[in-house]
Amino acid sequence: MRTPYIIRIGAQKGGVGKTTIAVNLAVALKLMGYNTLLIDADSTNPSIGFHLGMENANMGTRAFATGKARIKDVVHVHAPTGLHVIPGVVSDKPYVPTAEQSRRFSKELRDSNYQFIIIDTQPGYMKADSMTRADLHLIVTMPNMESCASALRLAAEFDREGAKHSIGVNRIRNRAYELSLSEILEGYSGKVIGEFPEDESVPISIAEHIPSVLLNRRARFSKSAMRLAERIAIGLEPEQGRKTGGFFGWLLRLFQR
Amino acid sequence: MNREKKRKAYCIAVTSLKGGVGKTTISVNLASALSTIGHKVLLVDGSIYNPGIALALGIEDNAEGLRKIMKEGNLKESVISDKRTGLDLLLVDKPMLTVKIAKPNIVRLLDKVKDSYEFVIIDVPHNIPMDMLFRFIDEIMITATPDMPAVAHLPKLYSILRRKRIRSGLIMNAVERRGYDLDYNTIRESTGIDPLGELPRDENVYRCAMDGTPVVLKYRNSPFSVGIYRIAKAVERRQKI
Repeated sequence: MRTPYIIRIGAQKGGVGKTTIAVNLAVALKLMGYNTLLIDADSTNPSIGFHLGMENANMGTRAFATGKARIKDVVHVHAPTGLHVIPGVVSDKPYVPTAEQSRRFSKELRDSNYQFIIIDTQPGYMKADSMTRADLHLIVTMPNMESCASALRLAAEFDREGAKHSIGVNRIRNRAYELSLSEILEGYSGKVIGEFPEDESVPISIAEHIPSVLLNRRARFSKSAMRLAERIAIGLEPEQGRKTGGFFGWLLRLFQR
Repeated sequence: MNREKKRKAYCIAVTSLKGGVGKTTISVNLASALSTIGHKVLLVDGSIYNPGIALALGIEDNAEGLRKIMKEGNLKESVISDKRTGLDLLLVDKPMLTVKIAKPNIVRLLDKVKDSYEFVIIDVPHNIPMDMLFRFIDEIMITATPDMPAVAHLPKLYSILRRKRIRSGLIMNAVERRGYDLDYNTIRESTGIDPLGELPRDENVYRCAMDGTPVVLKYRNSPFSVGIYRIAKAVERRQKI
């Protein structure tokens, strides 16, 4: 796996949990010891600041993307973890970097010495190679018709462009009227690499401005985020990558010996 | 005020600054509620990149709507009527990613149709520029959930609306009054917007999302429906002023 490994988190439908997952994944990777950069590329409603308690940034992704600043000028450090963050700054007009700006943006990211770069995008369709070509597109969806329909549409667009993508299913509540994982996989060609339960610790962590994996490591959502981070860090191969933890895992390893 | 006289339909844009707070659900249910009360309503899906109304109403056929207008330019033929809700609909069946939208054309066409309806409700996502709508709409209904990411940027939008003299209303959706939710007063103080109404979190909303029926039709007495009817009444009053 080459570094930096760039993961773009996106969805066409809003409010499915892109930012929550981006923030918690980045913090989890940082806690595992990887040199990680988190970029808020949502130009109309940036919200990484609220999740991390860093609302007052006055220079961020836009300045970097439009070539007004270098990467080191816009990086903010999240004090509790040391995670590097490029926050978004509010504006009423979405920006579209020119081809030249995108190339420079991309080059500077590729040349940096981060191991993981996580980009939180805005809802809506973005070309797979806009700004920078990602190594993995994580499409976030909820187990309902509307968001799955748009997730599958986005996946089809990425397929057309030859970009690698996987799905993360958020806010699973296991109700009868939800789509099950197998129903989602019926229409999807890729893998589901993350499953996140509906968990009250998420709205609490947002209200507290502390990411769930820091605020409550034992919460079910946090565990899912850490599991995803492990899976990504190991190299995205679920078969060899999945480590069964706890007593059962110990038992399995005992018999495999 | 000359402008006011010419037009008949009261045109409402339902929008938000964050996704997933309930724009489409509220648009569909508010339109259905107004239609049930006895008004002639046109519901327009403005989410051209990620359409949702056809899915929310379970309509699969003839949902070309806006794309048909682009092709043929005939508004009357692009509108379809839904018998169940009594609504006239202008839908988008698949994302118009590559279509170049001739904004003046759309506005002109919508202007034309205003004569035949009492209410026009447009579901507008936050990631398309709203400027083109400002000339056409009478009121912007902003939806939000009681958490920071959804309300934090509202003051900026509100100041734009005030500058343009556009009437606005705030609807708080999925209200549960948990300890970590923002409360009404905090929102009013930090945004300066008076909430027009609030809608409780309601399991029936999720249930209906799966079978393509508006909540107000299927569960008339569900807390969400009651809230929607209250907002519909408020909208009726605002139309007259």
